[in-house]
Amino acid sequence: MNSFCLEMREVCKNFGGLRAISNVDLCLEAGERRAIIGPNGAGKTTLFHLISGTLLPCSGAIHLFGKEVTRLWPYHRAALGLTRTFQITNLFRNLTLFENVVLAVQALDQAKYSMLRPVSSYRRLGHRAYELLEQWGLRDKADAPVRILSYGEQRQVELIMAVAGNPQLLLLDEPTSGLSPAETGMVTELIRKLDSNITILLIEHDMDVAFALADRVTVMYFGSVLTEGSVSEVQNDPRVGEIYFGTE
Amino acid sequence: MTFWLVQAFNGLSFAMLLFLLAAGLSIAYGLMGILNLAHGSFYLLGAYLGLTVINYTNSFFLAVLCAIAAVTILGMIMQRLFLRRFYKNPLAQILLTFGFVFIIGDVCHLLWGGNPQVLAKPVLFEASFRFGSVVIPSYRVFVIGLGLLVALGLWLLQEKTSIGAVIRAGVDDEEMTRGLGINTPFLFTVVFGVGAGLAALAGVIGGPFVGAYHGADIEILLLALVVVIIGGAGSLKGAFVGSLLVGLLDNFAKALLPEFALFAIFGLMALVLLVRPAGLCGKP
Amino acid sequence: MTVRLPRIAAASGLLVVTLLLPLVLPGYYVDLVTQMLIYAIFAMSLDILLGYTGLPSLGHAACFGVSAYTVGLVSLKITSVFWLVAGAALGASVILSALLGFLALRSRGVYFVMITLALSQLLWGIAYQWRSLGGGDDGLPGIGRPKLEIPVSFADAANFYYLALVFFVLVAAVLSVLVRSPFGNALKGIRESETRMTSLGYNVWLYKYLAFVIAGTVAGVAGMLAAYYKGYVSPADLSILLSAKVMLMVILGGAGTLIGPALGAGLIVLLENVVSAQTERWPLILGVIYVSVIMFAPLGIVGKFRRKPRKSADT
Repeated sequence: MNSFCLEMREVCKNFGGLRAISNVDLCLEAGERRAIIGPNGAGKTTLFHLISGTLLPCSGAIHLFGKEVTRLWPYHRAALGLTRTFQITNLFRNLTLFENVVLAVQALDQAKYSMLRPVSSYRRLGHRAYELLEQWGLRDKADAPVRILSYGEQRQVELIMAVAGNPQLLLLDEPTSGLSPAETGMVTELIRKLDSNITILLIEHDMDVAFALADRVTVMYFGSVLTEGSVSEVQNDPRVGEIYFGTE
Repeated sequence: MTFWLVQAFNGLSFAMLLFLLAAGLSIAYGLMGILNLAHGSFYLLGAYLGLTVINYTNSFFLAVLCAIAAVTILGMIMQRLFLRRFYKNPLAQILLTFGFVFIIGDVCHLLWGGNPQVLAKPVLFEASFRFGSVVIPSYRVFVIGLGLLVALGLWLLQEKTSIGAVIRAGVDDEEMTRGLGINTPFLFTVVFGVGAGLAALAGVIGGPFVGAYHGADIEILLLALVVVIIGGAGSLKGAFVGSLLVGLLDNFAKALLPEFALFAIFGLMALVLLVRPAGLCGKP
Repeated sequence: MTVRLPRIAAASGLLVVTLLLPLVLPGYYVDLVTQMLIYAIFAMSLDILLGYTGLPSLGHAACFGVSAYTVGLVSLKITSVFWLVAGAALGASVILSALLGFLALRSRGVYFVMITLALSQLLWGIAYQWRSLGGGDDGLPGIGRPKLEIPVSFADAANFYYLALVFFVLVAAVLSVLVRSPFGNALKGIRESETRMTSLGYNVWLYKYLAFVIAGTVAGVAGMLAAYYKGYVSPADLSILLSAKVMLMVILGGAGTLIGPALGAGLIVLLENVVSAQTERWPLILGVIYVSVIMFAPLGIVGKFRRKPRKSADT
């Protein structure tokens, strides 16, 4: 009986002649907080795409919550409990905040194909949406179109949408990218306060954020895993400094 | 045997016409992401302008030149004044060209009437070749030759020249190309104009056997679209392969089963869509 | 409850007007309004695709026309029982939209647009070429008005108007509920961001496909009524001009609102009738309106569907 939340074994991905991901092994335990760091082009986002199903690996196997998902469609994986945020804010810009969250709530609900009753008649959807907005302090902006919210608020909405369906594994793709220091601090706090049952895998360029949020860190370099370990182990590993700054 | 040979020649010459249209359409899509529905209109306009020039000057050569020049300029104006404003909005651009289809089509109807007209073949190519019982008009051979020449020219331009490299770069990554300092808006206008010119060329040289008539713009647009879908948008090779397939199939089907010619085309397109939705030579 | 009173009054007023219309207006104008109702149904169906799901189909005349042809073929050659004819026409629409949707949705973005146009143009061409079945250029004339069990003659303008009105109200009601349902909600989400919807767990393809089939079927309702109304069908019912007209109705009226396209339909029908009485240049005017609306329309298509460059993940 597999206790790993996410298990990647010998995963490879090539784009034509380019080996984007070579032989990556990655295992996440339930409830773990893992950060993936590495310089640009290391393959971090490609790895995310492989986990979420947007890209298919050329070889290797991926298991989510014990089930093989290597070639499963992305929306299937979401139904299993996987969810993600995007580096570039990807919200339903012309819909209101409330409508955005309802769509997230509705996604894993039985009613999502219902055609003959208005959404408002499914009280549980609206309640859950308002509940989430309350929790995140955005209740008063529920009827605003999302495009007029501030960038920092939009990043928050990304997180709300990701956790709306009570996921088991959350992929955070550079959650603090483009944020001011104050906003970065706020978002870091919000992530820290997420339900501890949720396993989190995050890509971050901001090392401070990565080290603050993670239990363990995986370092990637040119499509392979360079090293993996606890925060302090990685912080003290000289090779990590090298790949970012080069040798003296 | 005679029948097949003659039909093959007819099909090939028609395929070359389609190629001239599809090449412009495909490259415009590949480069700018827009679908210029007015391409058929450029074809028809070219045919009508050629007709008028021939009626006044009796020179086929002049007709070709004038038609190409006029329609190229028209195309560039259209792109510059209307399409360019919607740089980031491909749908708006497509709809604009949609509107122009009706404007140009109706203006042609107004100026040249609804009766089908046929252009006179150039004197040089009025004779036919005879091989035993097989009669092949030399004009058809000319069209095939011209088409192949243009295909070769476009391929050389694309693969071997710096302009071609710039266009290929633009197709691959427009922002980057702009970042390199290349004046992509101007490039777009020029490419659009060249496509229009090719369509006009097709119109004039197709004039003697396809003719110019009200509705020809829509009919030829359909076939050009099918060629692009089958061959793969953005690919010159795809436009060539697609034109051959569609041109030959259309011709043979019309000769053998006239009522079902379009079924055959439909079937081919459906097959390609099922198996390779991005087209035979397209990038998935 | 005082807030609702003006609304109820307005709705009742509208109801009274629509019901009394044929008693007040001469036959020609009743016919005109009937046409408006038929095209309003057509336009609303396209709005589901374009306005709500973000799928711009340039070949929406396909299901309209095939349904119309089915009415012609069945009522002229097999039976003139209304329910059978209507059933056949709608059945044809469902099957055709299921097939076309499957082919067209193999792609997205501009490719999808191209394919919808090519598919409907192929059907138009087939209608032209297949003379023995569809009468070619001349089409199928002589379609009588529907005969139902009730002792009412639908050859009468007023009676046919009421028939069209009933269909319009039904369609409007069903579609209004549809767009407010969880399904309709999801369509809007897909319009805004397919990648987001996929990552949330929606089977985006299935939603798009269902929207396509629903839109095609409703277009078939309009096509059926049109065949009965005109009394004949011809390749014009499958033409690019028709696809262009219905798209303009949606854009002009305001995509994504249902009522907008219905109003847009009324406007374009009116315009076409007025213009065609004065000049043969309706296609030119249509083209000019097209270009003008897109160039100058405030929200319209430019604002509502701000598409990112095609390289982005969404297209």
